[in-house]
Amino acid sequence: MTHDQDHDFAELDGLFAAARRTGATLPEARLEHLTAQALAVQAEGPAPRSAPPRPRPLMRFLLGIGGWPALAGLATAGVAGLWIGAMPPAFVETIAAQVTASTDAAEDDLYLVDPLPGYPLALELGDGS
Amino acid sequence: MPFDDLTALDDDALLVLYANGDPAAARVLTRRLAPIVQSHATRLTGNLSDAEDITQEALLRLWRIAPEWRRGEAKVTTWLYRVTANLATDRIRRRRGGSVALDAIADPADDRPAADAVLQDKARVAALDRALQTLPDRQRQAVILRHIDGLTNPEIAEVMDIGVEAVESLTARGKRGLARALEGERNTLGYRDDT
Repeated sequence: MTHDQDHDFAELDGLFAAARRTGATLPEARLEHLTAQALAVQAEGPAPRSAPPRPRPLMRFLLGIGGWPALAGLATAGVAGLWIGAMPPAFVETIAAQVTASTDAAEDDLYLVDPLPGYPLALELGDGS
Repeated sequence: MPFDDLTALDDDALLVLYANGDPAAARVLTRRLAPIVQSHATRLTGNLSDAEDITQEALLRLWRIAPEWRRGEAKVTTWLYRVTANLATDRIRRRRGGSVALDAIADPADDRPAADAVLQDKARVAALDRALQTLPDRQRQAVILRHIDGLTNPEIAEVMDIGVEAVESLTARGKRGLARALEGERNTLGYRDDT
């Protein structure tokens, strides 16, 4: 016996409808078991997330000063300082000369101060007579 | 029942409540989803024992990912159909040629039609399940999702991770395969008188 395709499919639709009507009905004990499983997992709470690895001392320092951008800034400042020290521009030399000169004068003044003059020292030692 | 008021919520909302520790949400979701998963798994594997194990495992996975579930990203049932299919595929590969458990199709619990109609339904569904087991795995999955579980083609495409056109092709070929497999059972299924 042969049937056209549409007719076969119409019968299939009836079978599908029957399958939908007779969906699985789980026994109460089975549902209770599955519910107990759900409650057990719920009671465990979320799985603990693994702690991130502790950074090494150098990395902690780096993070402390602000990360790689800060380190780049620090390196730039260092190079600029070296450059200014090795090849100072004219205005820096002028300022340096002034500072040095004033410092020299102050140092000279400092050296001229006698913190322990001879007379009081003699009195202290008791041979001032 | 104390969780009656939660039954109006959708699966997404219930899963969030579950993740927040609401035991009533666990009960409502289990009762709503377990029959869907077990019915689908039974038809995919043709074996009730496998289907029960798959149901337990699929729900266990759902409970475990609940805290990370992102609402609105995917339907809970779509996710479950996919997990169920993966678990069923593993089982089928391990147990090729296993027996079909006809008792897997449970009787309807309530609002049951007359006894003879129930028997006829049961015979027809058993024949359908036997015919489904003759189909290639992907055709069987597509036909079950489309014609028994009632998913749309785009939803099936998402579950099976294929295009909508591929879904249409699989379901069409699957129906032709079912029609061929059931050809010899027309009379025993009572279609001579019914159609």
